[in-house]
Amino acid sequence: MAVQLANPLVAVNNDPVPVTPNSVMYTEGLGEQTIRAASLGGGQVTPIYSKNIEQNFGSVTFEMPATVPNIGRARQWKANENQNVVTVTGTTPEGSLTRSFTQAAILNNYEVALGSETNVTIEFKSNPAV
Amino acid sequence: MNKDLVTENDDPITEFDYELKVPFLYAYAGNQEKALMITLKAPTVKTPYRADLKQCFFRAIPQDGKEEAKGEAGTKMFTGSDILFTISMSREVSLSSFIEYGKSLLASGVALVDGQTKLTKLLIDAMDPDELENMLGEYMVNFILASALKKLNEN
Repeated sequence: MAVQLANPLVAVNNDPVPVTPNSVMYTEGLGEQTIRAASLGGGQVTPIYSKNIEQNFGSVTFEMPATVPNIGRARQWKANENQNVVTVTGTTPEGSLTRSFTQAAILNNYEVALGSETNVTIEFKSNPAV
Repeated sequence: MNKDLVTENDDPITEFDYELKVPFLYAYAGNQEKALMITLKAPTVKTPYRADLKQCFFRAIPQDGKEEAKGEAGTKMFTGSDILFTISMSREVSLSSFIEYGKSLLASGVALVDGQTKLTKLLIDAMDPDELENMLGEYMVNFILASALKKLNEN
């Protein structure tokens, strides 16, 4: 029976981060590709495959509860600019997953919602995942 | 590592470097670096589990071995490996408890990876187990055990 990886460990700069369950997402940073058709004449076509490296960057998104330490963490990551490293790891009976995102930066002007069950949403943009 | 436990001016050493035999990866300045050594600093009164580690050792040594431990150069009789061996062989002390105390102490800020980044519990978990035990042993010899045996010699 296959088991879904649902409780990954997210660490930023060697410190584990308390994240809201089911909120962690990432992109590998492998970019987008296109295929278009080239005519060989006589109705024949051949596919032309091309890479668009403009989107070749990784990203990690997660939410964390709006506690004082977490708000402090977010502020420090923002201040670090692109000098952060994010790692996402997880294990299931079928195996383990590890992805590292170097030179990660928070680009947006993130919001801090203060309330009884509110979260801070963090999005890092980084080098492609390793 | 300074085996004499004092500097040339007879001042007690305040830190030493432990060279890693099994490097591990850690995050620094936006990149992943390979750790080559760990700088270990002397504990302070606020350092957690310092007393627990000291007690672990003195409970572990056999009663008839305590006099030998006070010897002329008591601190030089023990190496880090000796500390770990003594605790491992003891029925009075749990090695796993000793290691847990040690991990908490090391993660409190006394250890810096490559002298620049705090050693966190996450990084400790990435270390080779034998490496961690050896490093704990050297920390005991250079700092925690040194102060306790110095008091015994003075008495």
